[in-house]
Amino acid sequence: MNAAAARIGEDDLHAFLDGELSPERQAEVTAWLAANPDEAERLAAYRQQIADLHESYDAVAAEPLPPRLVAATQGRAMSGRKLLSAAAALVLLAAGFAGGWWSKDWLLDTSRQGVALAARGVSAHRVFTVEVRHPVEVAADQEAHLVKWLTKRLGARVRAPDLSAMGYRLVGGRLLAEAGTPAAQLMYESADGGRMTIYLRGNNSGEETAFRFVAAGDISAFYWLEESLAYAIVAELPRTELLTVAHEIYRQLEP
Amino acid sequence: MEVEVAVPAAQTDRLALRDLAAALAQLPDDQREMLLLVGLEGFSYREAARITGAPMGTVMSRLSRGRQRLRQVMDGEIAQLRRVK
Repeated sequence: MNAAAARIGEDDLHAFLDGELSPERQAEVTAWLAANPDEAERLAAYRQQIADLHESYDAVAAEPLPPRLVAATQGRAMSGRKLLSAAAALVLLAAGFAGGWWSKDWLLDTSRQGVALAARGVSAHRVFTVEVRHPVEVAADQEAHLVKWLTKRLGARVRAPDLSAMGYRLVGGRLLAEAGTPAAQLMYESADGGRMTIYLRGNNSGEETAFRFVAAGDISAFYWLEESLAYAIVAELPRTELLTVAHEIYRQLEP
Repeated sequence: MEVEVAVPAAQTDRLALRDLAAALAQLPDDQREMLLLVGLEGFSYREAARITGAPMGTVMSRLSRGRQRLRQVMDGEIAQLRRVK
């Protein structure tokens, strides 16, 4: 064992695993591992962890890029793979930031449908709630037309819940595309200008889920899948406040 | 004679996924975040440091502790499942 190899430490092993070493150092670690089977075995276990992560979560990796990552990586080139895959961070990190029993519950949610739905709902919320002049395609003064139109496009009965008792008025809605199929967003606004959106799309997966919560930074969302439609309620509100509104929406939309 | 019990692939996959999710959920937030950024998302250490605002040394120590902890929890989980069965 030469002097350089003798200095191989914990950080080198992880850097080896993550492809962060120079070719020379990589070769030194490889040689060192051959002489240290216990450490090689431990490294193999870590390599398996990474493989398991991919196997479990790559399906949700094709989601839009979370703004936190956009901000962190602005001004530099990212590969297409990273741009795409960074999206999983939105849904996965969300649970991490928030902590608590519900995030554990959410992490245990193996419904890829629900996870993707929440991510798209949050993404659409971020994009359209900042619009001042064109927040919606069809305004609330044409509510009957809006509801009829979205119902036709989504292929399931769309309703705009009346949230005036909760302090929210309907601003209007818009048609969106989700991976080639129609989706929609209904936007509501409170007296102080706070906006809340309902993201919905048809659900023909046959899958139904309970009411679930996810938080991504300052944005919270409740989502659920029912027989014909899937919903995500999104707002920049703490969980408890959004819960009250979401429950009311859930109640009104119950089939 | 060896007797093998056939378990549908989809079922074992689902169990494995739940196992991993449950194990991840038991990790401290900063460690889980690092495992996902580097392990799943493929960000470099430098990128991960920039995203989380943590120094490089912290990125590496969180990775190290997170991977060690995940391994321990996963091993423990498997033992627990066997006991229950």
